[in-house]
Formats: sequence, C-alpha cells, structure tokens
Amino acid sequence: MSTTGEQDARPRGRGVASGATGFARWRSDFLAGLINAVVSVPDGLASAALTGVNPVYGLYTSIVAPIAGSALVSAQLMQVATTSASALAAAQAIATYPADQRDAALFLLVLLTGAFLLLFGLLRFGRLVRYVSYAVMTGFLIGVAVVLILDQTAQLVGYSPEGANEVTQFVDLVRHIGAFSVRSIAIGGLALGVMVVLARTKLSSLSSLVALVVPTLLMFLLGWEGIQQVSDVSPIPRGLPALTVPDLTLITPSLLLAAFSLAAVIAVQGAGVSQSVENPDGSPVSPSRDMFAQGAANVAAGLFSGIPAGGSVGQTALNVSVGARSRWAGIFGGVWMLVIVLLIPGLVGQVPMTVLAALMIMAGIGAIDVREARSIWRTGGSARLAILVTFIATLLLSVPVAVAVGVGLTIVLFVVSSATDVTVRAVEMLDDGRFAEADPPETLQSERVTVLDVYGSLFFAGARTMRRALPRPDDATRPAVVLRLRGRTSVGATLIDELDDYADELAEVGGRLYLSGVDEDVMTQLRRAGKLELDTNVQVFPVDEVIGESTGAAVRAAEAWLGQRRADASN
Amino acid sequence: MSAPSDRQSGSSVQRLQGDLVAGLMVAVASVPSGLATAAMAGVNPVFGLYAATAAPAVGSLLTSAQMMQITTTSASALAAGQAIASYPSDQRAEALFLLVALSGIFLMLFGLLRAGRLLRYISFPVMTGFLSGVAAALVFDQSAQLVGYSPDAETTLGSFVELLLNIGDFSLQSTIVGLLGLAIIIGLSRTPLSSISALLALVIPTIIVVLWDPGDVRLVSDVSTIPQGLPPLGLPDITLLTPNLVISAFALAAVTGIQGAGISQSYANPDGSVVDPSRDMFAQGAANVAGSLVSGMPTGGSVGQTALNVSAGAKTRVAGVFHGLFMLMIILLVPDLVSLVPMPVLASVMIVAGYSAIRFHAMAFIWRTGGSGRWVLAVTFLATLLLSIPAAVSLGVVAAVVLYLYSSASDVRVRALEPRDDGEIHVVEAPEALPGRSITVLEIYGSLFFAAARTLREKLPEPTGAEHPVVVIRLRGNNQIGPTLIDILNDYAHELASAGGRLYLNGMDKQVSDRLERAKKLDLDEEVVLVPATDILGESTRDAVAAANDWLRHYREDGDDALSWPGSTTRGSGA
Repeated sequence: MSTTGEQDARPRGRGVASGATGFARWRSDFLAGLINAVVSVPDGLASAALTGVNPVYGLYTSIVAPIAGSALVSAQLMQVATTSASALAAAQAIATYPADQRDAALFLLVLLTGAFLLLFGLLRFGRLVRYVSYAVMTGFLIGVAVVLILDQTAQLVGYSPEGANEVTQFVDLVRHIGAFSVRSIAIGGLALGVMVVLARTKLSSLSSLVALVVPTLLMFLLGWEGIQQVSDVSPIPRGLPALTVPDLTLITPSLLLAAFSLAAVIAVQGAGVSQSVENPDGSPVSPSRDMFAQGAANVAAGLFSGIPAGGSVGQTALNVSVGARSRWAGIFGGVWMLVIVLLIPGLVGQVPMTVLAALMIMAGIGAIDVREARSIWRTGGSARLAILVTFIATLLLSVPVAVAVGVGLTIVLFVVSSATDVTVRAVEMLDDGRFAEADPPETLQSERVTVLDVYGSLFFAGARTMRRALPRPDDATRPAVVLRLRGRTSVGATLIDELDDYADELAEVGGRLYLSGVDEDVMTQLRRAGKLELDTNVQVFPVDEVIGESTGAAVRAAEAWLGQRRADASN
Repeated sequence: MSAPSDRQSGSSVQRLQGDLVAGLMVAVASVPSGLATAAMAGVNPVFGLYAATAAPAVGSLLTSAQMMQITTTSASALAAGQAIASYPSDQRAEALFLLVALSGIFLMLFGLLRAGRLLRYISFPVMTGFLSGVAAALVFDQSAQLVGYSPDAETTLGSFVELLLNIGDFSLQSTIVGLLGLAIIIGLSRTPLSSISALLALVIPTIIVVLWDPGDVRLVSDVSTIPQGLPPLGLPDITLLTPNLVISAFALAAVTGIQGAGISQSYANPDGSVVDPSRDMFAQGAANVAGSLVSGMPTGGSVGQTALNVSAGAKTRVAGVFHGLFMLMIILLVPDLVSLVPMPVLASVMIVAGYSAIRFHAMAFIWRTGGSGRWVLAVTFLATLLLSIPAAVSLGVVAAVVLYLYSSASDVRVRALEPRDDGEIHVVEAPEALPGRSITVLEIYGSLFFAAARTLREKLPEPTGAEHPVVVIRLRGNNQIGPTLIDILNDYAHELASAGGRLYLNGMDKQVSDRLERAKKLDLDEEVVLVPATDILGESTRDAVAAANDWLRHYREDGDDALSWPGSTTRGSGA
C-alpha cells in the first residue's frame, strides 16, 4: 500500500495514523466504540427479535462478538456484529424446535457456525474471494450501502414502509410523504446537519457524539412526544449474560447443515466487508483470517447466550465514519455495550431512533465509493454489466443470493469471452529481419511455411474457436503450418482433438503441422495422450529459453522437409 | 472437411442405385432398433416403426450433413420414457406424441436461434462421457431384457447390480434366445454378411422361437398388439400439456441436439459442402414434428444408422428418403411378422449397437491426457448412469467450467525477459524482488481475468527496498482486462511510485489501451506509461524499454548502465 495517500482511491484513515499522537488515537477509538455500542443497541434488539428469541440475546452478542472479533481480525476496522441476514437464517434453522428448546438450539447453532467459520479460516477459504471480481464486490458493497441508506431514511422520517424488497419499500415510502413525522425529520435532520458541519471543523472526531447527544437533549427540552425511541423497539433488560454450556444432544443433521450455510452467508458478507476497509497502518487484509475471527466471535456468542454475528457493512461503515483508528474501536464497542447493559440501559433507551438513523445514513453515504463505481462503469464491457446486475440484485435479493448472481454472471461472461476471444495471427519475416504480425490467410499456400501465433485461452470452447480461425488447406498441396504454443502449460483433450483433426486435414493434402514453443509438461501430455501422430504428421519443437528459437527451428525443419519433398518429386 | 473427389464421380443413375440399396439396408436395420427403443420407452413397439417412416425422410431432406440418419435413438427413448412415466398408461401414448411434437418445435427453434454455436461449450470429455454413458446405459438396460428379468432399482447402475445379484431368477429360455441373437451378430461381424448381421440376428432366432414355441420368452405381441395398416395420422392432444412435459421436451430437444451435433460433425459430405450443426438441429426438429403426426417415437441423429448408411454406400440425402419409404412398405406388407419377434432378440441387437457406441478409444485417450479432462469424463459418464441425461450433461458442463475457471485462476506465470550477450532475448525466472535503478521486463502467461489478476499480484516481484525500480509488463494478446486487473496494476504502480519507480505497460491492442485510459484510475504518464502494440513483434517492448531508459537516466548513478535491448537491426523479440 502506498504512502501517497492523495492519489489513492481509498484514502480513508491513511496518514492519520502517523500524524496523530497515541492518546488522540485512543480517544478516537474510545468514542467510536461508544457510538458503535449505542447504535448496536437497537440493531441487536431488532436482530434478536427477527430470530424469534429474547431481544436481550442481541445485546449479549454485541458485547462478546465485537471484542472477540476485533481482537483477531486482519481488517482492523471491520465490525463483527449482529446482521439481519444471519438473524433471518438462524430464525429459519431453529423454527422447527419446540419453544422451550429453541434458545438452547440457537446457542448450539451459533457455536457450530463459529466452528465452521474457524474451519473455513484454517482451510484458507479466503482464497475463494478471488472469484468475486472487483466489479461484483464494488456493486455489492454499494448495493448494501444503498440498502442501509434507504432503510434508515424510513427510520429518519418516522415511517415504516411495506414491500417485498428495498425498491418497493422505497416506492411505498415516497408515496406516503404525508405520513412522515415532521418532528422526527427535524431531530434526525439536526443530527445530520451537526455531522456535516462539524466534519470540516476541529471537532470532526467528536461530531458523531455531538450528533447523538445534542438532538436527543433538544427533543427532551422541547418536550416532543411521539418520536420513536430505542426503548420503543424493545425494553432493555438489565443484567449480565451467563456462560452456558451448549446442549450437544440437540445436534441434528439439519442443524449442522443450517450452521454450514449460515457460516457461508457470514463468510461471503464478511469477505466483502474486510475487502472494503483498508487498514490505517497499511497492513494487508487476509479474508481467511477474518473468517477465523468471525468464527471466534460466533463461538464466544454461542457460549454467552448470543445470536449469530458477522462482518456488518453498516456497523463497519459507521465505525469508519465516526473516526475509528484501530481494532481497539471494536473492543471498546463491546466494553461500552457491557456498560450500557449493566449501568445505563434506561439512558440509552431514551435515544430517538431518528438520530441513530442519521448516524447510519452518514456511514452509508461514506461507504459508497462513487469514484470506483464510475471507473468501473467507464471501463465498460462485461464489467459494466457485472456491477449493474450485482447492484440491482443486492437491492432486490438476499445478500448471498446477490453475490451468487454476480459471481455466476462474471463467470459466465468470462467463459464466453474466453471462448470467443481467440485470435490467430500470421507471423511474417520482413526484409529487415524483423517479424510482423498480420491477419492469417483464409487458405494455406502450397509448399509454403505458414507461421501462426494464437492468442487467448485454448480451453475446450476456445480450442474449437481457434480451429475455425485456422487457415484451411483447401486445394493447397503440401502446406506446412507452424503453430506457436509458447506459454501454454497444459492442453486439454478438446485441444488435442482439434489439433489432431487439423493435422489430419493437412496430412490429407500432403502437408504437416509443426508445434513450436512446446512446454515440457505439454510435451509429456501430448505423448501420453497418444492421439497425435507425433514425428510424422505432427512435429513438436520444445520451448527454448531464447525467444523465437523454437519457432525458428521449426521453420527451418519445415523448409528442409519441403525441399526434400520437392527433390523427391523431381527425381 | 473436403472429401476425396472421386466420390462425386459416377452418373446420377449409379448414385440413385447406391442410395436405394443404402435406404433398404437402413430401413431393415431400423425395424429391430425402432421396436427396441419404443419398448425401452415403455410404449407400443410399433411407434418406433412409425417414427422411422416420416422422420428419416423429412430429416434427410433438410439436414446439412447429408449422410446423417434421423431415426429412433436410445438416448431420446430413455429421456422420453422418463418424461411420460408419470402419466396413466392409457394416456401415455398421447403424451408421448405431444412430447415429440414439442421437442421438435424446440429443436427447430434451437436451429433458428443458431444454438449450434453453443456446442463449443460442451468439451470433448463431456461429449465423450455423455455419449458413452448413454451407450453403456443401453447395454445395462437391455441385458435385463435379454435374460428376461425386471429389476426394481431406480438407477441404471443400480438395476445392473441388482441383475447380477439375481442370476438365479434369469429366464433360461430368454437367455438362450438372446445369446443366439448376440452370437449371430458377433459371429457375422467379420464376414461379408456383416452389413445384414442385425437382420439375420432378428430373423433366425425369431423363426426358431416360432417353431420351438417356448413358454417363457416374451414376444413383441406380448408387449403390445401391432395395428394393421398405415400409421394413424393425427395432431397431438394439447390438453395433456403440463409444465413438466414442456421442461422434458426442452431437455429431450437438448439431448437430441447435442447427440445430433456429434454425429453431424463426424461424417463429411460426399460433395464437400460444409456442415452446419444449427441447420441439422432444425432438420431434426422438423423430423420430430413429422414423426409426432404419424404416432412416432422421438427421433434424432443416430450413431449406428448413420454409420450403416455410409457403409452401405449412400451417395446423397435421397438415401434417407428411401429409408422412410421402405419402412412404410415393411409396415404395410409384413406387420404380422414383426409381432412374432422375441424381446430378448431385440435386446441383443440393442446391446451390440450400444456396445459399439461406447467410445473406448476416445475415453482411453482422454484418460491418458490426464488433467481436468479425466475428472470431467468420469463425472459425466457416471452421472449419465446414475442421473437423468440432461442432468448428466449439465453436471459435466458445470464440472468442466469450474475446473477451467480454477486452472485459469491458478495458472498464471510471470517470466522476465532478459537480453543477453548473444544478442538474443532470454525468457528467465522473474526475480523475487526488483533491482533498484534498473528495468525489469516481465512477460505474463495465462489469462488475466479477475481471479487470475489476483494471482498475478501475488507473483509480481516486490519493489521492497529498491530505489527507482522500473517494470515493463507485456500485455500482448491479452484482451480480458477488467477493473480487477486495473485495480491490481494501480496498486502495483503505487508501490513502484512510492519507491521512486514507474510502471510501463506495453503490447496491448488499441481496444485495451482505450479501456485503460477510459477507466481513469491509473495515474497515466506519472505512475504508469502505456505503450500500445504495433504490428511488428517486440517493437512496443523495445519502445517501452527505450522510454524507460530515458526516464531512468535522471536517477542513474555512476556505474549504472542503461538496459541495452536488441535493436531494430537484430531479430525480433516476439512471443
């Protein structure tokens, strides 16, 4: 990672770490942790309610998961918290258990999910993230951020829209402007205004805290009623989570399967989150290690009566936007949550939801990387389609499905482009001894050596495309073709089959096929396959360290062979 | 695809003669296979004969592969059998005709949409595994028929295992009759009578069974009665249409299209005209629509019948028309004889046909080639025996794509190009770390799509600790350049820039360099310099090195030499 921050597309946090003193960084993390914890209260309560269990389990999760997760993550600013995707998946998994066993089943599910995630991390499944292209990842992250903003906008204006997905909900929201609460908008708008104004002043590091406290106080001073508060979501019970030993007798194959798929959902979303935040100290991010960290967070949650947790797009964006500097922000978040649950549940219960919505909206806006999106859009081609489809899918579908749609689409586009993007070029020697590339002839010339270069992938479909692009022997007699294969490390059965077909066609008119620049592995593969008539119809020239040497040797051999045949013919 | 020209010689009378003989031979051979495939689908065996009247005639008039014979096939019979199994037995025939008509319409649509182009995505191992699996399934299924045993297991492989475990329940009489049929075909295969061996294998045991009259051998008449006269004409009953049937028809059309494409590509036209798989799909579609109107089974390009047509001396597409006409005559003149044919004998004919269609050579070749093709072959072959045919093909295609994706993602190599004293450019291992104040020219082998781009990043030499490292990366011939690669190159360029170096990208074509500029992500002319390709091999690399030498001059210290690259008077440096 470079230190020339102003040229980087993602300059978040960069350079600040070096400039700020140790104390300033601690203060930033301490405050960020407080905001994280306060925002986690309604999130945790709502997620647990979504799972169909006691809402306090969501708060317990927000104590242990961020501490365990943040201590272990490689993406230091990533927040491991309750997410609605994992809450929904958990709800489905435990729905079949009788009500009195449901809690125990949930904790067991969370524990197993954690174990799977630990395993994913140890098996380095993070490497699979490479199959998620940059365009898909960007489209997905922007989509999640937009979902966050749309959701929180409804919260800010004090209206609960109905609809099957984000888009229909937003349409519903816009159509009911009359039902908006003016007071809610005023308080939330004030919070937004405070953040926007303070962001450019020296108080920027305190801006979220001020945005949290000032509008809340104002609401009480004005005596405004009817604005939804955190305690309206669910009362915050006081008390400590107890360490519970999981009841292993509840394990069923379907619970295992549910845990596995929940782990997969968390891993996919977490990988996106961990890729989206750069570390302030420039250290590299490892998605595998972050899977492990999320696994540890879930194991901890499972032991302390928690619901599933995972890398949260919203919480992570919030963490970044409230000025976190290191992993300590997450750890403080857990500690603050403990303080809230033990000491000040009533105080937090008074915070209006609209203010929290304002915080999340700012975080969501910060998470939208317009510059990246525009760059990908301008690149055009399949990338444009990939980012668009993933973005729309994220708005309309669940998180894992949206990622799957994006990945599936990019893979199909890749396979199609590999299949079609195969070019055959003819190489000709110029008078000055240099080599020029030109379009290959349609048909081969009699008793002439044609040197061909092939660009593109020669996997099965590509091999067939190449076959069609090769010049045909037609009426030529004794054409010799030199095909350059430098840089190809493996050949498939389809390519061998197509080459065999071409060699047969050449042989039929007395010609020959020369393969040059053949890698050692490819050579063994060709010999083992035993399909090409090596040393008669097909001559193979191994790759040489010197560029062009193998092809030169093939051309000389071909010319010598043609000369020999001419001599034989004249005798 | 050009055929020897002597096949075109000969008068039109001679050609007609060849087509007449071939048409007769193929029609006679179609009798046992038509009956057997229809029995396999669980319908009246005569439907197989009806199909063989209209389908070959209509199909042959339309195909681009003139030798291809469109008639009943075991693959389509199996697929059809699965599709109509859920209908009550009195509706099954009507459902079949509707299925055939629908799959014909789908095939015509495939042809019009030029779906033949999609066949390139079915790799050689998938095609081989699928065709061989179908053939092996045929052998397994018909073995049970031959020994007069009905297994209960669900999959083909399971049924065969069950069969082997229940040898005691075999019918001795059936087995004798069936083995006699087998013995005749195999015994005659190396004699001049090989071309009519299937017919003799059908006739001789049938005569013996008629004279012997054993109690335990099922005849065609036991399966179903064969109505007298012309095939009943009629439109399919649309009221039987269900979504499932539509899906089955689509799958059946896909199976037929895939198998037909394999056949149409394996036989060259006598007049040297080019084969078009899409047009052959259309022809098979028309054949199925016609077959449906005359109460026929599904049809498609048949491996065995096409081979027989060629070996019997067919010269033009007219042979297929004769095939249909002769079949019609057989049905009109000798229908009673057909009902006397014992089922084990039909089984023996199908077993031989199935065995000969298993592509042992191709499978051995794929297995020896190794790599991912081996697993794709095994998966497709086993899936064909254990699952439905469309599922097997999809599984094979998905397996091939996944393995391709994986190998493309991991198979990225970075090499360094180095000019040596011999005046040549050598391809050597790329260094782990970049040297300072000098130029490293890198060549990349492999695809650079998103997953591979991340692999590339891991393999690029690190600038750690170097001062003013300059890297030239050749991108010639690589068109798969997307945002992921741009992001990674940008990252690398930052690293170089922060060490005081620079990145040169060269050899990309106009389209790619436009794309790199449009993205507006790379800091062009500061951190990254683009040197597009020219028609001369190695020229853009030389230009990039020259530009880099020029830029680096300011940072060179005493004793540092500019990188001398073979100039325009020496040989090119292509790759």
